Amino acid sequence: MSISFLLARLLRALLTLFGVVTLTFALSRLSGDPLGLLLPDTATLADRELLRASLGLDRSWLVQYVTYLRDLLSLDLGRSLAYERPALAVILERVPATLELGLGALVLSVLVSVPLGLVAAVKRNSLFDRAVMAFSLLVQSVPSFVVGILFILLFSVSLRLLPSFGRDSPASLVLPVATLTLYPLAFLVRLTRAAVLDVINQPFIRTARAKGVSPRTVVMKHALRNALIPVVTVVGLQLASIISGSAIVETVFAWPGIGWLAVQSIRTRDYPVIQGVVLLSSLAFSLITLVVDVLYTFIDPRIQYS
Amino acid sequence: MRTPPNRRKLRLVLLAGLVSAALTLSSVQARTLTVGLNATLASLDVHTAIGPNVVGTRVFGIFSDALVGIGADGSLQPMLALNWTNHGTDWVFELRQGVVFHDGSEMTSDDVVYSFERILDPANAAVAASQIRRKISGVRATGEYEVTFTTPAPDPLLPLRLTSYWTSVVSKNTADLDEAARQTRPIGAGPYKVVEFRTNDRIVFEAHDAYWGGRPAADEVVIRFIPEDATRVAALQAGDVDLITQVPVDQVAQLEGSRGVQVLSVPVQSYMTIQMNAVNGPTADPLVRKAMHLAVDRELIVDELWNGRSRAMTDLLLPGDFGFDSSRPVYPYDPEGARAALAQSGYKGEPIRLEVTAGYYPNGDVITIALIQMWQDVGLNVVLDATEGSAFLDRYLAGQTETGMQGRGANGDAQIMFEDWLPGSIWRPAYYVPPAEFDELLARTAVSLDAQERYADFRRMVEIFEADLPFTPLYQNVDISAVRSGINWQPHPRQLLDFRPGNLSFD
Repeated sequence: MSISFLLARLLRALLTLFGVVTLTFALSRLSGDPLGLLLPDTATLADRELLRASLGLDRSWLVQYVTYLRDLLSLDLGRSLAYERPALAVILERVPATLELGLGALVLSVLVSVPLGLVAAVKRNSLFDRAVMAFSLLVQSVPSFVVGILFILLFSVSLRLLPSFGRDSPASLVLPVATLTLYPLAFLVRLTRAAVLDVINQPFIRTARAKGVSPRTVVMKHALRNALIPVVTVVGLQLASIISGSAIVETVFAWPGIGWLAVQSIRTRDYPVIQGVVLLSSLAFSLITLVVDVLYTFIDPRIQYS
Repeated sequence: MRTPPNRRKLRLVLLAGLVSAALTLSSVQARTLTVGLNATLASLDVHTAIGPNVVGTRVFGIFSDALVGIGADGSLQPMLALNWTNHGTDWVFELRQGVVFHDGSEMTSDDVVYSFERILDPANAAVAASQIRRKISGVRATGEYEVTFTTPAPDPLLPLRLTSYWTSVVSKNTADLDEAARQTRPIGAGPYKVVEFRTNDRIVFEAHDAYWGGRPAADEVVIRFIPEDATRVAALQAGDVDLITQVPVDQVAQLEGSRGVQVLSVPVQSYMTIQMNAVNGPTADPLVRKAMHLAVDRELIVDELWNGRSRAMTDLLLPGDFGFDSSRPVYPYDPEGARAALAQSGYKGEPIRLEVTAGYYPNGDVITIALIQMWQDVGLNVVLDATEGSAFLDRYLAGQTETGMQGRGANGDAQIMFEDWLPGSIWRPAYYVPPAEFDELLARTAVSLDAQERYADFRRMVEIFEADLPFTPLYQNVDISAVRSGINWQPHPRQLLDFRPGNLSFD
């Protein structure tokens, strides 16, 4: 992989982030004025104008935008309107909770889905295959807030096995991670199955079998490795669904992460926090896609970037 | 082989000893009360936090006290002030002695003056305190335990205004704290002191041993933020929390069927209305507003959709508000009268937009649907326009709402509600301009110390509003909580979580 390729990718990521910053800035302001939400109903016009000026919202959009971009260069995301503290600090203190949840869900979904998809493909049309496919269809059809509540009712209220909410102990992680895992898991199972089936019918697999290679080696070494390329791409993309899914799952489980913060900030029109959350999520997403591109060259040495 | 009798005895004695030791340990175990709250707080700085809001009302009183308290019956009660007397534009408050802040310092008039200087500082614009800023022109210490407030004009309501959480007193040592400490470790004089605050997660309080009202019953109070209704209810059923606020009406039956859980509801000092634009749109016609007012069956809503837990409105004021007339019946449900009013009006069936913040008011979505049906039955073409909260507010503040669901309340005195229509209010020209007589009465009640005169004036103002109908009252709001058995606690009509001695005990 050449340095110029990496530089070009980084530049593209920066351009994407610039677009995200601009779009979020414009969209959050188009959604309305935060003053109505910050002030009591009885506030007078003078109160409103005083607050508007103190928050810097009396300046034109262009001035606010240029100031925002300038401050961004020094990693200053502005001051949260609701928390009355630097937005970056408000966001960063929630990152560990979301990372815990997101990585847990990502790792779990890969660990479970790849073997399930592989076995389903190898035992195509068997009862196991049909059961796995039916399960993944069901899981993909049920919204995560319904699954989350059902999990709470079953494991917390009825069985009293796990905490119903919060982030207090390792046990607290189980239900939210399980809820967040289900959708990407179901998707990855179907994808792995399809990719393996696709590869299994290729001539080189037939050749390997004809050469007398053991069925286990054929599947694990030849079929799976080749089937992994689309799976790795999608695992990277699933990060986006995990980030967006965390907004719902964190709210359902009162999990103090970025997703819940994003929901609250949108409700209170806390511009600096909304912009910061979107920016950091996009940054994470850009980095992941870059990592996925790099991973390709290891999985398939035929892939070369120049 | 049988165990010799002596050894059996010894075992019994040892067992008895262990059991009694365990019992002793459990009796000295800390009593923790864990509360599941529906909304979060961003800051615990009572003077600068954004508001007013219900979550602030619920939480700030746990760790901070105001000069004046308010009882469940709406009566004013001594808190940090023992008594108060009016001298025209001066109100003199005698402070309680022996009040100890959470940092161990004793409260004097300097702390009260320091607190009100913060409250009155215009730099703290984004705060609930902006409400009181115009009502106080000065605060000064007139003794070690005496403070004198000066108001721009005689103000009969100042003691009532000083019951609000944003007028709580903090130690003057707050000045030595940096911003982060002021927001997370406030120095109040309330029954519990903050030991940990994790935004979006929890606030941990411990009992303030030196609380002036006596040591509180709980050793520790933990507030957990749980925004999702179903999760909050499940957390109580699972035993993860001891008390939850804002129980949705549709979950009440399920909770009442749960063992070891008690549902408590209390009517609060506010009510729901349908606001009708008296300036623009189809409801600018007074006969259309009258038809909307008469077509609503309030008792049906209360009986069927609130399971009788609410109260159908009889007045623009509530029991506990000064100015309330207890002799009035429920507003009449008169569909025939509504149809007759419509027949006389110039209304031709044009759509009337009812703007509602979806999911915002407890039970609001279902009630809205019932209301629309009632209006359609008499020939009013009311159409639902469900919007997101901030979008609704934008349209409302811009004067663009035709009709909408809105909460109102006088918070103890009719003046407070009618002041929403003070000349100069932002939305007055867009929604309803009361007659000159109203302005005169409002100016008089604002400064009058004659209770009889004020009462008569308020009744006349109610008459004016009921003739013009800028809004129609529906039902009194209800706050529903649920608590685990063995915890004796009563919800407060002002929605504050009162865990003071006297309102909280454990079996």
